[in-house]
Amino acid sequence: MNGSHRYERWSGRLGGKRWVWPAIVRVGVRLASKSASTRLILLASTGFVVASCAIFYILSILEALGSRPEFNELYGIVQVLLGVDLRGLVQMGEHREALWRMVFMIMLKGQLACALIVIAQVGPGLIANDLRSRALPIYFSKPITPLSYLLGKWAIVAAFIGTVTLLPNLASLMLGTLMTGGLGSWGQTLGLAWDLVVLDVGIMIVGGVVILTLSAASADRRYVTVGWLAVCLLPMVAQGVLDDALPSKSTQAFLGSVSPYRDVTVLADWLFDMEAAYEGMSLPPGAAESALSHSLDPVYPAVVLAAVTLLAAVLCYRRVMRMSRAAATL
Amino acid sequence: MTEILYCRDLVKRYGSITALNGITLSVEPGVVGLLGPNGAGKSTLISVLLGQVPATSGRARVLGFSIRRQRRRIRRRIGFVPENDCLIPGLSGAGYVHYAGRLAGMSHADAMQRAHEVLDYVGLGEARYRPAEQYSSGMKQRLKLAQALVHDPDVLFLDEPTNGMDPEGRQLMLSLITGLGRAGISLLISSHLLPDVERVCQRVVIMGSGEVLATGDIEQLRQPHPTLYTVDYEGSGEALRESLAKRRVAVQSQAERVVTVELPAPETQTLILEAAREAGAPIRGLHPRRSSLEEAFMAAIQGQQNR
Repeated sequence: MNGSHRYERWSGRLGGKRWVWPAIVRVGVRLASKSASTRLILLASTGFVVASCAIFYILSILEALGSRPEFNELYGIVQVLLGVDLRGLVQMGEHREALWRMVFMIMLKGQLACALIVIAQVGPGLIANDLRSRALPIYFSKPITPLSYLLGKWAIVAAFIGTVTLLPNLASLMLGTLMTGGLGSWGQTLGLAWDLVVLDVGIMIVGGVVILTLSAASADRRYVTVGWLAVCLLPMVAQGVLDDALPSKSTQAFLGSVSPYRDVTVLADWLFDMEAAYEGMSLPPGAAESALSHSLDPVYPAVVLAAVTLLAAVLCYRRVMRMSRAAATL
Repeated sequence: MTEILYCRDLVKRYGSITALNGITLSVEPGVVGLLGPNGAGKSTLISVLLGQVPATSGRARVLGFSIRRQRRRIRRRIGFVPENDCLIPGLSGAGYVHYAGRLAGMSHADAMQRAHEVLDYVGLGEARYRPAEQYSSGMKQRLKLAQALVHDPDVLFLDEPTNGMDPEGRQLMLSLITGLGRAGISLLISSHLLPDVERVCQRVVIMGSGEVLATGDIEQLRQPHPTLYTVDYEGSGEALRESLAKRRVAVQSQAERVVTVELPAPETQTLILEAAREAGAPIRGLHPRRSSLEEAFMAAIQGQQNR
C-alpha cells in the first residue's frame, strides 16, 4: 500500500450512452464464461455442427450416387435420423433445401435443450447478483438508463443462447453448402439462413426476457434457477398429459400451447414450412407420416409466446425502473 | 465557479413519512460535510441529488443542472461512493474500476489507463489484479473511491467513507479525501464521525429530521465560548487556583501549567488577570475556548428538539 501518488485530473472526453450497454455485455460474458459447466455446454454445441454436417454429407452422397445399390444402407440411416424414407425420391438435389430444413428441425430439439441449460447457467445471476452484491448504485450513479442496463443484461444471455443455437446453425449451413455444391449453391439455401436467423433470434428474445424478469425478482440466484426450470419443465409435463387426454387436434393446438418447448417447435415447423417441404417431395404415402404428426396451428403458440414475452418485458422494465430509483438506498 | 448544489424547498415523502422537509440549501465548491443523526435525511438528500429518487416537490440543481430533467448530465460530472459494499463478484480491482469507467462512458483504452492511475492514487496499485472480494474492508472502501474517481468527476458524493475502517485505513482515506480537495474536486461527505468531518471539511451542513439545522464554515460554527478560557501560566498553580476560587471561578486542569477556567456571568477576562496578579503567577497565554464541532452539532440538534 503506498497511496502516495498525487491525484491527477483527466482531460479526456466521455462518450455517449450508446456505448454503455456493450460494456455490460463484455464484462457479463467474460464473467459467465468463467464457469466450467457453461464452457462445457458451449463446447457441446459444436456437436450440432458435426452432426448436421455428417447428415449433409450423407445426403450429398445420396444426391450424387443414391441410385447405386451399395448405398441402400445410407437410406436406412437417413430414415432413422430424419424419420423420412427417401428411397422413392427422384432428383434429390432439387429438394436439398427441404431436406436441410428437416435436418435443422431435428437439431432444433437438441438446441432447445442446450439453450434451456445455458440460460439456467448464465441467466439467473444477471440481475440477482447485482441485487445481492448491492452493485446497483454503481450502475445508476453513472449516466446509464434502466433500458441500457436491461439491454446489456439481455444481450449477455442472448449471446450465450446464440452460441448454442444460431452460431452452430449458420456454421452448419455454411459448411454444408461448401461440402455439397460449393459457394455456387449458396443462393439455394439463403432463404433457410434467413429462417434460422429469425427463429434463433426469437428464441433469444423470449428466453432472454423471461430469465431477466425472473432474475430481477430475487436476489438469490438459486430461486431464479428453480423458477426458470419450473417455467420450462412443468408446462412440458402438463402438455404431455394434455396430449394424451385431448381428442381433437384443434384442442391440442390451443391447450398444447402451455409448453414453451412445444410452442417453439410448432412455430419452427411453420416458419420452415415443413408441410410444403414434405408435399413438394411427393413422397409415397406413409413415408413422412411420423415427421408430420406434430404439425399444429401456429397462431396459438405465437400468441402465447408473444404475450408471455411482452408481459415479462413490462414487468422486468418496471422492476428495474424501481430498482434504479431505490439504488442509493439498497 | 457557481454553487455545486442548490436546493429550494426540496421535499421528499415516502407515504406518510417525510424524509426531506423543505430543504433550502446552497453549497459552494470545496469539501463539505453533511452531518446528522440516523434518519436525518442525509442519504435521501444524496439520492435525490443523484436523481435516483424523485423529489416530491421543490427544485434542486447540481452543478447548474436540474435533477429532474438533466440527470444524466449530472451523473457524467459526479462520482458516488456508496456506504455499502457494491462490488461485482468475479472482477479484479482493475477490472471493476475499468468497468465503472466504461459505464461512465469512457472508451476502453481511456478507462483502462485511468483505472490504473486512480488505483495507484488510492494505494491499490499492487493489489489491482486480485479479485476484489478478497480485499479487506479498508481496501474495498478505497476501491469504491477509485470507481467514483475514474471519470474524474467535478463533485464527489461520499456516504460514510470511513465507516468500519481501522485507524490506519481511516487515516489513509482522510488523506486521500484531502488530496482530492486540493486537486480541485468538490466533495460532499455524509458522515456521523464528527472528528473525520472536522479534519477534512471546510464547511458543514447539519441536518436533523429532514431539515437543515445549521450550515456554514466549521470555524464559524465553532463559536468562541463566552465564559470559557484556556489559561497558560507560570509560577505556582496552587496559588492561582486559590485566587481564582476566591472569585467564584471554576478551574479545571488541562495540562501542566494550563487550566481551563469558567467565569461566572457577567465577569470578563480581567477577573482572571487580577487573580493571576494576586497569586504571582504571570499569564503566558489567555484564549477564549472554542466549542468543538460536536458541541455545535449537539447544540443544533437540541435547538431543533426544543422548538
